[in-house]
Amino acid sequence: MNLICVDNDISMLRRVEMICKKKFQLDETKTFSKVRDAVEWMERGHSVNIALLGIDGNMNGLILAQNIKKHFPTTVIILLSSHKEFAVDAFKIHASGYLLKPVTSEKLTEAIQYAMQLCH
Amino acid sequence: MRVFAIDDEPKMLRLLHVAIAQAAPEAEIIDFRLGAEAVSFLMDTGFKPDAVFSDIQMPGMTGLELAVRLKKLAPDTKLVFVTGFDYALDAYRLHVGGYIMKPVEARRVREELDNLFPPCSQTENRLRVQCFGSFEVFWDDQPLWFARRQTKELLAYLVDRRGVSCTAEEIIATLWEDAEEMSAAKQRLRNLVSDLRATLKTIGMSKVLIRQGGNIAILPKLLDCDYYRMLEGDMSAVNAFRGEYMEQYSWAEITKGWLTFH
Repeated sequence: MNLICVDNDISMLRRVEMICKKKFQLDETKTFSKVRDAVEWMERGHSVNIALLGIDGNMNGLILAQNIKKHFPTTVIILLSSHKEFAVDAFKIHASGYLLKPVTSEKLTEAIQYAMQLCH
Repeated sequence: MRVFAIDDEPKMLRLLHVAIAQAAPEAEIIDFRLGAEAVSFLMDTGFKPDAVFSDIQMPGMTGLELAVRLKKLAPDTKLVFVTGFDYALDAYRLHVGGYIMKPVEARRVREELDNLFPPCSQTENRLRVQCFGSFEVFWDDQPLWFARRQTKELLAYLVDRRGVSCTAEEIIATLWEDAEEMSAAKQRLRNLVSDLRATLKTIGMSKVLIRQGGNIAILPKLLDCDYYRMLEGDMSAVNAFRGEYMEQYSWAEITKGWLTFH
């Protein structure tokens, strides 16, 4: 099972890496600070089972989520944002989770665990 | 598909009902004016819908409380909120399956249903039947429980006949070589048929069984069956056949012989 995290907040990426390494057995955990890098990585044929996507700053994260869902409908998407007003839109693109920043490590862990359950 | 529609405003409930009916014409929809009514119906009857479309702001039990109750009472039931307000974050906290902003449209209902029940997983909604080795029936990857051994045998025979309709006489002669008096045997068969129907009904698959006059048959397209797939030339099914077919039934020898030589 592969997980990616895309967020312009580097500390979020490090935390996700730590949590995945310590608590979950994933085949691969990849983090990207730029949407473009994530897209390039996927275009090289890597599959993504779980995607944690930051949508703050610009709306690229939401567009990325939409594109991932379009090409890989079974990918479980969790959105990360400091704003709660995108949650309704998140449902529209069928994101499975929405975490309001700041996120505690417990909430992150719980969300990843839930996403893994959905993958089965 | 079985669906609950819940809204305390009659007009809204009617709109919701119509939208669901348009989005999923095959759905069986039950309306409720209150979340609490839906919950007590569920508790009284044990009837678990596939999906619930519910308003959030309602007198008594709110949609959010309903979500919590549903998780416990019917964990496999998918809940979709239909609301004019922004409770989306709460909905995510409760791991709700979907969210529609009012006014509800059939298109949005369809989108949510497609997401919750992906069209490609419709094979999972078919009854899985295993003929190679011994005859077994699975629903949701669990063996289907038959109250009577002979009911299962009756289904096995109908599967073996691949949708060809069978007369009572034919079934009796095949299944019970030591048939007692014909009228008694026919009564026994009628009991088994209604038992089979009841068993299929518990999983919402009674449509598998077709009754026409005195004849009965099954609808093959509703089954995911190794024997059928082999006949269609599916290589994985062909390879799965190791010379064993419905081993527990002696009448299955004929098909087994036929499969072995072809």
